[in-house]
Amino acid sequence: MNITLTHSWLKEFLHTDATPPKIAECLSLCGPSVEKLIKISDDYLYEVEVTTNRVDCMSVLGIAREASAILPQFGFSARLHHDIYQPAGSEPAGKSFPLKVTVDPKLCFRFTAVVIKNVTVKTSPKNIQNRLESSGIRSLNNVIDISNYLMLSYGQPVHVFDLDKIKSKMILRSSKPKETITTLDEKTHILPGNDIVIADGRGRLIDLCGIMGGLNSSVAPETKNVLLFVQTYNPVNIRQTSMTLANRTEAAVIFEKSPDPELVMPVLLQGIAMFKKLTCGEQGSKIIDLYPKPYLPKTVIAPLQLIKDRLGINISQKEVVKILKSLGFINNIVPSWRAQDINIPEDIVEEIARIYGYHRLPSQIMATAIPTNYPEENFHLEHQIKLTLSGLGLSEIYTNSLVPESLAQQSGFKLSEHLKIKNALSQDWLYLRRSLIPSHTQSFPAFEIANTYHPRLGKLPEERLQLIISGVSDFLKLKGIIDVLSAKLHYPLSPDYNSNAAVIDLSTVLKNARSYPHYQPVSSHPAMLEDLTFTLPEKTYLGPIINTIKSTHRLIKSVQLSTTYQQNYTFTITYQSLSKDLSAADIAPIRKQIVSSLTKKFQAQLVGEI
Amino acid sequence: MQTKLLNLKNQALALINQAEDLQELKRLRLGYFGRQGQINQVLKAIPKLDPEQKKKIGRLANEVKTALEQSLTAKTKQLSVSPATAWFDPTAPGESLPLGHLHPLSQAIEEIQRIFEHIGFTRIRYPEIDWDWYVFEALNMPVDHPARDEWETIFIDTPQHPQLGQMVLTTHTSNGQVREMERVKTPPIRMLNLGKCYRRQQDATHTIMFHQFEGLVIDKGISIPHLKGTLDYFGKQFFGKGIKSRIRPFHFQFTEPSFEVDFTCTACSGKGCRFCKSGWVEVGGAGMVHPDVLKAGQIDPQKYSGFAFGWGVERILRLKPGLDIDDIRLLYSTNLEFLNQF
Repeated sequence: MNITLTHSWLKEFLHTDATPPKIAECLSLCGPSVEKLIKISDDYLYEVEVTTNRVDCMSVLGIAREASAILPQFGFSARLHHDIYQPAGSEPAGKSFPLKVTVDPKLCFRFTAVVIKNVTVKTSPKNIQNRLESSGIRSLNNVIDISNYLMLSYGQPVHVFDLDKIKSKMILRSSKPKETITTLDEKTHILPGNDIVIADGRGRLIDLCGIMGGLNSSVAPETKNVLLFVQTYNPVNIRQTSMTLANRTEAAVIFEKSPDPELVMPVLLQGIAMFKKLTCGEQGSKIIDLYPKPYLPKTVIAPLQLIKDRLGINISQKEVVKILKSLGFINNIVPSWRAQDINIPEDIVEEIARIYGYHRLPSQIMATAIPTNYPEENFHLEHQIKLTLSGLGLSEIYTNSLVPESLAQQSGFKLSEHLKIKNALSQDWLYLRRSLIPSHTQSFPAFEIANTYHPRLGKLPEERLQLIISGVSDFLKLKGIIDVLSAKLHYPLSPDYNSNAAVIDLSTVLKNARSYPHYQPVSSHPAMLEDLTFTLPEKTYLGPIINTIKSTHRLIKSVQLSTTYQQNYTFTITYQSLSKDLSAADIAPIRKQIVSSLTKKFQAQLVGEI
Repeated sequence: MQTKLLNLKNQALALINQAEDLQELKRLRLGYFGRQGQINQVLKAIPKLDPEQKKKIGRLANEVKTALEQSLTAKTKQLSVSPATAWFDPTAPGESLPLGHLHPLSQAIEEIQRIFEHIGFTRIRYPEIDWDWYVFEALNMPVDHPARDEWETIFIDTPQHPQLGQMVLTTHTSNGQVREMERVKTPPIRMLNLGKCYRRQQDATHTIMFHQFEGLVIDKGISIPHLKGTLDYFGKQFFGKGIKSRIRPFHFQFTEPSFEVDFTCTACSGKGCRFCKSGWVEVGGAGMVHPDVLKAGQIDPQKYSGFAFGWGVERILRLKPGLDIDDIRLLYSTNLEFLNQF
């Protein structure tokens, strides 16, 4: 979540000699990150990113408080001003409250309200308008502007009702499913149920609490009496409603992160003062404050040794105390605005470390033991496969694991046997693929190593790592690629061929492939080569022919198909012995055996004579 | 006999080397390899030798034959270039050979793996499709926690697991954290989990499928300076010498403290330019492992501490000096004009 504020507004809460660029730099290093610093006429605009755990920083006061702790570490002076946690004077007294209020304490942790009577609705002073608008909020009229101004100043969302539009009662309860409410933006919501709402004496819903007020009770130009309304709610309900209705208002974003209930009363008092000043209204009732479980200060202690260990430096207790004090921690008591965020000693470690400055900590690689219990994976061999294939002229591509229905249908599995996405971003990414083949529609030779996903009942799917080689137009070339890869891996690959693609399951390959061969002794005796040509019947598979020749005798070192002409196939046969020079007499019987078994098994006819 | 053979070899090699035309080579070939050639003369004498000698001389004769054969072939090739074609044009285009391409992502992944292996990290692969427990809940993010908004999670349409929750596409490689603790059981741990992740986002800087890598170190006495040391080391190795890293406060539910990690902008060498934040570029998150996460992995947070970081491969690839890929969707296309450049 981001907050935008002007430097002049910040100065109302922070007295410092640091310049805006310095403030931006120091905040970014030690606190909330200033994403942008923009110069505007005679002012600066800070755009600050606030992390979800620091809802206390979603305000000008919050940023000022951070700066007041951080800037002194960089040698700047910095003092916090107008900290409303220390209110001046007691709350003003007033008359009785005009509405009968019932509140479900499980939904609303603190409920405060006060009547402001005889307001004059008009435009706000220029200064207020400018500040709101530079923070991205449209100025409407003085009454609405006060509520927004309070929220931006202090980080506490505030609502205002037209008192005269509420009938006698306020019942804060959870909604029933299908109740409807029309909010200020004139949208009508059908509620899912369990949303925090307020009903009045007529049973109408007048507020979708923590998200947006109801249109039927909204402030209008003719409004005379206002109900100023400051609360904290159960964050879980707020979040559910806001997410379900997809209505992420500024208020909802704050309320779902548990803002400090201790902030409620100071903001209400501040509100009363602003109403007096800007609307000429006056307090028209006593303040009601339903706060059944008041905040109890909590203590979190981080031992000095833990701080030293995590920071890797020898920091003194004195410095630790000084840093904590600058953040509002007194004697290990967590300030109320940090109560949600600070729970364990490590949280304190973070506070010390960041204010001390991460940039001041040393940098060194750990000198601890190196683990040696490696998993059964072979990433290097996987990379070797990629290098071999790209070396052979193929291009590696990465295609998406998520596929549209049309591709899933070509996987060889039924559509219903695929894992389906519940919340698909687009129909293009609806199923998890079970085959790599349909994804490879490109026309150039390419390869990819990726998982396919195969559902298993009640378990995570099997993620099967596969290699695909695709787009090779000539099948024999594709086979040649597989042969080279087999040779490089010292393991015979047996792919599934599918049109012009080959697919190989890598899990067994990676387990069995080797980076070096079983060495065969090199013979010191010359090899003998001879060509034998056979006429083969049509549609004879060559693989078994070659295997048959090869397995005829152990002296046959290799068999290669050298030329083909019509049905005539010439094989070059290499004979070699480890122990002697081969003579014609050694080879003659082997040759005879080759011819006879090919004739018998395949009706092959030798061309020529032996 | 042996000496005779060796002399024969030396003499022949010298003659071959000095030969001035192809005819002379032909004459030499006949003289040595012909039926009545000198080598055959020697070989004829072999059967008369005693078995021990036979073997030795036989082998030597073979070697001599091979050497002479190679020398003759090479010299023939050299002399075959006729004076007319001896004109040599080094500017002529080379023979066109198929040029393959290792994908830039694979190049980056290999490099990342190598860099971390040098300092004792073990690369591992954990599921791309995992239970909510490992992806979120064990990482201190209960169901409905607002922190989950940061991850645009993609869910699978299957029944929930009774204990482990919904089946999701991993939004980050952090699911490997508790899985690695379960695998190793007792630290030390130095894990590099690198794999595909998925989020419901698609634009010039996000793709629905992308790659992340997760570092996890757990041992006794692991501190913030150790994380800084590891980051500095990685920055220098991956982006180049003069590159520094810095960490800034951030928030993740599964680390405490949490950081955002910046490296010196490679475009302007840290001077500040329109691509960076005053000389720094953000690469991703990091932090000290939250005690609750250690507990979820059955590791005693009183005894052990650790750090973790997780960044996008595409993100750091884009930041490689001089690479400047402006639209990462290209990485997942089959655009040859793009692929051919790598």
